Amino acid sequence: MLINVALQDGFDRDAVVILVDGAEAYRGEEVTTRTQISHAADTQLEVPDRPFTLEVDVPTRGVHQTFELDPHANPNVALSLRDGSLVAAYPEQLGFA
Amino acid sequence: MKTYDEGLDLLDVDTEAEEGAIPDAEDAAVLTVSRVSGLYGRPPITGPLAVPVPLEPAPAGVRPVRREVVRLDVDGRYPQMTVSGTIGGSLAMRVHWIAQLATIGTNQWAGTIWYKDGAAASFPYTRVRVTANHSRFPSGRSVKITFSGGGATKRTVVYKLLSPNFRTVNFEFDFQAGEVADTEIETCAHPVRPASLACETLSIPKVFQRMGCQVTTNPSSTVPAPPGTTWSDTEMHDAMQTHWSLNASIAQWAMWVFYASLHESGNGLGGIMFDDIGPNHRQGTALFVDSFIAQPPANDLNKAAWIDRMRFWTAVHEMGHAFNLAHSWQKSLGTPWVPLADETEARSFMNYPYNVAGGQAAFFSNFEYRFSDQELLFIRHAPERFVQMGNAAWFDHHGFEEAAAPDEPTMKLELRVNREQARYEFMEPVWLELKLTNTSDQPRLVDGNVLDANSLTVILKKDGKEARQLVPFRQKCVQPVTRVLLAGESIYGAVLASAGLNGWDVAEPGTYLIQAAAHVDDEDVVSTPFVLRIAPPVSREEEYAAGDLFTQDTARLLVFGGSRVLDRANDVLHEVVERFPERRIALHARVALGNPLTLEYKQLVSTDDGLELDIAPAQPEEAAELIDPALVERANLAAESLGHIRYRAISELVARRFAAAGAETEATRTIDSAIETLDARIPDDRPVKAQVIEQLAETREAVAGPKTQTKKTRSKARA
Repeated sequence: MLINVALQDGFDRDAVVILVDGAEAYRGEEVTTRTQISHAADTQLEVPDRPFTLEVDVPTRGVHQTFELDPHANPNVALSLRDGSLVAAYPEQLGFA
Repeated sequence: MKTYDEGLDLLDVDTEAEEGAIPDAEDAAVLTVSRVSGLYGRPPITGPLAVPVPLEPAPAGVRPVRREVVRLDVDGRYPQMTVSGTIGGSLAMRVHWIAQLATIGTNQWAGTIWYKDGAAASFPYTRVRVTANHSRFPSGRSVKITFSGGGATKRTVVYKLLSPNFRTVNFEFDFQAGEVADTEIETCAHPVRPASLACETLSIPKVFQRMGCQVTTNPSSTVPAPPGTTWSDTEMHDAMQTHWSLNASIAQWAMWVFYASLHESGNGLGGIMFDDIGPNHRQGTALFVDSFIAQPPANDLNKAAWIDRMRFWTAVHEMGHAFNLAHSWQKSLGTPWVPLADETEARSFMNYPYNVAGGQAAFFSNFEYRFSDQELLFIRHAPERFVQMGNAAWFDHHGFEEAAAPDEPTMKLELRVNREQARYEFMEPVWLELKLTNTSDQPRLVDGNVLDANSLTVILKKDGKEARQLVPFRQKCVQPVTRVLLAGESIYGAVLASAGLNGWDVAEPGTYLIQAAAHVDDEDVVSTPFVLRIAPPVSREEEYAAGDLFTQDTARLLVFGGSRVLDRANDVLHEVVERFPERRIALHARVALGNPLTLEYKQLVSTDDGLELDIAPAQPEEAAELIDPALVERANLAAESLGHIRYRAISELVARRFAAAGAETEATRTIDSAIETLDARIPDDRPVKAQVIEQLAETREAVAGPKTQTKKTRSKARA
């Protein structure tokens, strides 16, 4: 099944790698937030139809974090860099304005 | 033009009503005649400029130097129990203050001043006591404010009501051809809403009117575009320049709101304040009526009303960005004007409805079509330059809007460089030249030091970064030298923009926007923004060397023309000369290293007997070995990189010092090179003034006797 992932606040020319259960699913370079829409990048990821592990690596910041997700409960994932770590939110919808 | 305001003009038919004001009956009922909130002012204070600012009236007959307004915010809609004030004047003299109030009696409040911006040293007060004088007629309303604390004598000022609104702003709503969306909404059309919400037809102007703004609107126009057109930010910016009737490259209380079909990025973008392009941000916003904001949940109870409400929310949300409001969850990010807390659950226009706990249904169940209190405080009471469209860049809080610029300026300030394109090599110091011209038809008196770095206000803004003010190394305390500037006449100056006490603000690769203000009497003469670009490093070696170069001490060497004492910084410059001889930074380094060797160098040294003056002899031969490859062998490049003003000044200085040290040959070579180089240069079709060449020739005669060079110069032809 598919989930929506958005990279939101705090990115500034960063490299971002996302892994689903250890397999690379997204790679972004020079990822930069436009603050007025809180948006840096977004993608749809093919994930298992069961709880899985989402790993996010931001090598340009030395940040690597892991999130355990249930795709049915959290079909939308918003990731922001704040104070040197990744913060995940699970909004009802991903839309920007 | 249509006007929306807070409706106190119901009591004063001679004012706003004549200009087409549309009082809102319900708001008038809410306000009632007892309301005292609004904008108050006093006539300009008279008095001579001085530091600190004299806050009491000076003898009559002296021309006005300051205006003063206060904003009292204690009743009406969403009172913030705040009073704020601005004492106007030139940039260097302006003060903005804010106090939190508590009620202490009928129409009486008192509180502490918690925010000061600007020349705070001239405004020592820490507390205020406010008494409102209510009158049935607006023209009779006033507030008396007593300032106290801070060790200063109490100051009491009476201000008269100017307006029931805190700000005045103009909106223009334009539509892509074929796109239709209302700028108003029926608040009870959708069943998911607060039970207490008043059912009404609410317009976008009325939302901002309730924030404390008097709103005027321009007639809408249509932006021709085929159906299905998607828009990039640049295309919308172009459309704004073409279709917005108030488009101008200035800060103004006005914005353009564009109703378009879709953004080129797709339907996931509901709207955007797209205008972070160029020097005047936050003037243009757009909403995309066919994006996700037109896609209600499948089970929604009133899909049409849901769409109307989301479009309305989006439009106001983007307009909030144009007022420099961040998203509710971003309040603590960037450079907030005061420390702010994030408001992730706020029922504000600046929050995403679907981001809160419980989602959009929970949001709209408690949404009252308003902004949060801290957003209202910002809109109503923050320094104007932070809020006004086209002023401070998006997400930061610096700018020049509040410059005391006259309506009909009589002076013009230009920033320029002596090269075809304002592009700089990595590590190359940026010397900017300034030209201040009397554009009136009358002579003007100016201070001869007006273009010294410490007399100017220079703002440096790198793309994507907050603006910074240049803080020069040298603070001169000099007696003003009055100079007569005839009609059309100019004076010139040069300033190192790269570095100051703030550090190296113009050094990293990228695009910079620079703006300067010269202070002439009580006016700020503001330059047009100047854009320059710094190229990336061409090697890893340069990248590493930059870490050593971009220090305070090396910057001091470049500004002051070298030192024999700052050994570490001198080592860095020597390394630059050796490793990067063909790069422009080497020219600057050579001058800074050679110049101190051209004169007897006096240094106080500590001995067992106390301090002694140690005088090192001039070393003209060693100096020439360093300087000649820059000022003579690569003279044209040096003139371009140092700028004509700096190049000339250094050349004359070095030549005079060579001569004083008995090195006439070196002196002659240096000054001849300057004459020949500057006489031949015509950057941007601007030849060097003949007067400059003549003055250099006089210097040559002084340092080396009659000129033997036979080459015919262009200056003779011009003369």
